[in-house]
Amino acid sequence: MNHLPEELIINILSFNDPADLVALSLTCKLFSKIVNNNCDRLAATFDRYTQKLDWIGSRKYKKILISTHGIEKFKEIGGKIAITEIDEVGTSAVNSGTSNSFPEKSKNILQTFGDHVETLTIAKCEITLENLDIILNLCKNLKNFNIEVSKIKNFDEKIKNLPTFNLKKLSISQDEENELQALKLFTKCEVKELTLFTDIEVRHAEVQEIIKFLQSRNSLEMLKINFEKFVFPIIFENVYFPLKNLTIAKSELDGSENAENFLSLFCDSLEFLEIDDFGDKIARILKNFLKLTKLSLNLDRKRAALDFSVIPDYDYLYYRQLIDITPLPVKYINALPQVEFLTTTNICNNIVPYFPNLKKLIIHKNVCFVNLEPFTQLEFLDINICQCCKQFKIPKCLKYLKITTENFSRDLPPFCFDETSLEELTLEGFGKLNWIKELLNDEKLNLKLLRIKGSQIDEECRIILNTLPVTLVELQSSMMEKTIF
Amino acid sequence: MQTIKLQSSDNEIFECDLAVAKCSATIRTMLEDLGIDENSEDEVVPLPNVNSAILRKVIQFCTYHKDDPVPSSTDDDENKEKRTDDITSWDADFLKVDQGTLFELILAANYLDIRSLLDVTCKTVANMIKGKTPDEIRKTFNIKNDFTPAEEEQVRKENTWCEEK
Repeated sequence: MNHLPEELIINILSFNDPADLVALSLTCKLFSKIVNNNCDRLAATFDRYTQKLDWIGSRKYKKILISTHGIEKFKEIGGKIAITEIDEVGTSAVNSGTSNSFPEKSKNILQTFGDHVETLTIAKCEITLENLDIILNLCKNLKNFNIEVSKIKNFDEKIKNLPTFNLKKLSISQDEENELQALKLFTKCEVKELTLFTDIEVRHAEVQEIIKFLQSRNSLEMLKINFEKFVFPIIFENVYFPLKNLTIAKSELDGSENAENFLSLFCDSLEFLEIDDFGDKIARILKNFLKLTKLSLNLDRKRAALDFSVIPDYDYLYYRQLIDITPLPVKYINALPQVEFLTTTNICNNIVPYFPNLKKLIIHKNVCFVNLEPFTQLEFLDINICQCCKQFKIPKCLKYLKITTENFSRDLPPFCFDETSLEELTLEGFGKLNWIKELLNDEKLNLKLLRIKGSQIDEECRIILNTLPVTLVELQSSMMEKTIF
Repeated sequence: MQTIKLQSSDNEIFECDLAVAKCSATIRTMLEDLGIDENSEDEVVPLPNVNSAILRKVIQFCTYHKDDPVPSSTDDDENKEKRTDDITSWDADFLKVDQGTLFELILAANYLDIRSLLDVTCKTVANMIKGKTPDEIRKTFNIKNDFTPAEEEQVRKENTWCEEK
């Protein structure tokens, strides 16, 4: 079993109980280390909360997801740890069928650990304004607060202004009536990131209210919104909005005058735009965003609604730093000579003609066959290669290369570094590396740093690594401590 | 019935039902990425990470399970209770193999991205660990104890709470 990759061992152990994990960690150093390094992921799979809390509590752990089950036990052992993230506080209230009362036990958690809590999520539990007030007062260092507004009860009460917070993130979602009122609750908060994913139609007056609220938030830098529900004409007059970062989700904005108007609010300030899908009209107004440096698109390859040819003047678009397209619909896009940094999950064709000036390329998904040789300016490449990759051609200009794979078992990898300018090479997940000498022994190669992660480095391999013409070899492996030699 | 040819690492060709092959997300993606369509009769999909003995077993598994409902989404899956007592008798019989084969099946399921096979093989190994003492686990999997007595004592101490139960 110890020959399996760590990921698969974790997968197996996710079906085991804490006691089994403890027993396994007592068998040998490898399993002890795997269990300890992954206790957060393993804990997340336990269905018996008390055991989960016991197990977490026995470790020095800072970021956990916790339910109120087993809270007494948790208090007993919890002094050792500081919780920075609490999710679903008050699940027991839902389970026990009670409503309108935030459970005492949950308050106990917060009384004990509130000072440390940076992220708080309340989504399942119904909560009164009074309790919300108490909770937020207990969490003095809260930075991220996620709440489902429909769970806040008794809005008929006189709405209190909640205490002043500097919230990094505030997420408000899924409510029929209370969204605006919820926003009013936070009028004293400085909010940097606001998520308003509502599933109801937003009426004109409400939008004006939202805009008013947003405008009063000078600190707001990032907004996530479901624009699909803005189904009315909006006139924005004398509105200035210095938003830098906008995410529009689950939305199809083609032909929407509202969308144009809404986006135009941010044309002087927007630096990052993430959008699921949009059509010609929106594409055209993008040229007005003079500060836009990052554009992230999530296009459905089968529909691929966007044709970049509709954007008239590429020169006006400054999405040079990052264009993140998932997946890359090369069939549908024109050449983008101004793009220097591309992140994508997948490439299935020769992408070079589309991005002739690319300097940095990150491909997340496993690549089978790829010829990147024609790139003339590519300096940085981070790529996952598939087991069946037969040939992988590297451009000569490449300086930094990171190759990740899993369970690589062949004698030699499908690439060579002849005549490259490569300075840094990172190999991750390659299992055994006894072929490395053959690969790197080229006299022309002037590698300054070789970084190896997740490989088995036996004595023989260590000797080989020492003889390589490489200035520095850095090993980071699950099998051994970080060593530099 | 549409078929497809799969080539194992030791170059054996297996002709199998397309629907069976498509139980593997990896093969589905490869067919898509390489532009192999259902009419490409001569195309062979290379699977250099799976030998013929294991590929034969995988095909047997997928053939039996090809009509199973598609598993739920990842989110649901993460919330699902992780049970190991729900292995069907057919799967249990199918997995009555030596440990080497079982681990190779896990690797193949992972590489070929066949979730149901990965789950049932991992559950089988998890069951082999369940309820055992460290010594029993070592014997089961032939694990060498590389702790010094002091190190072992330290690990034991860290987990005292568990042994007290």
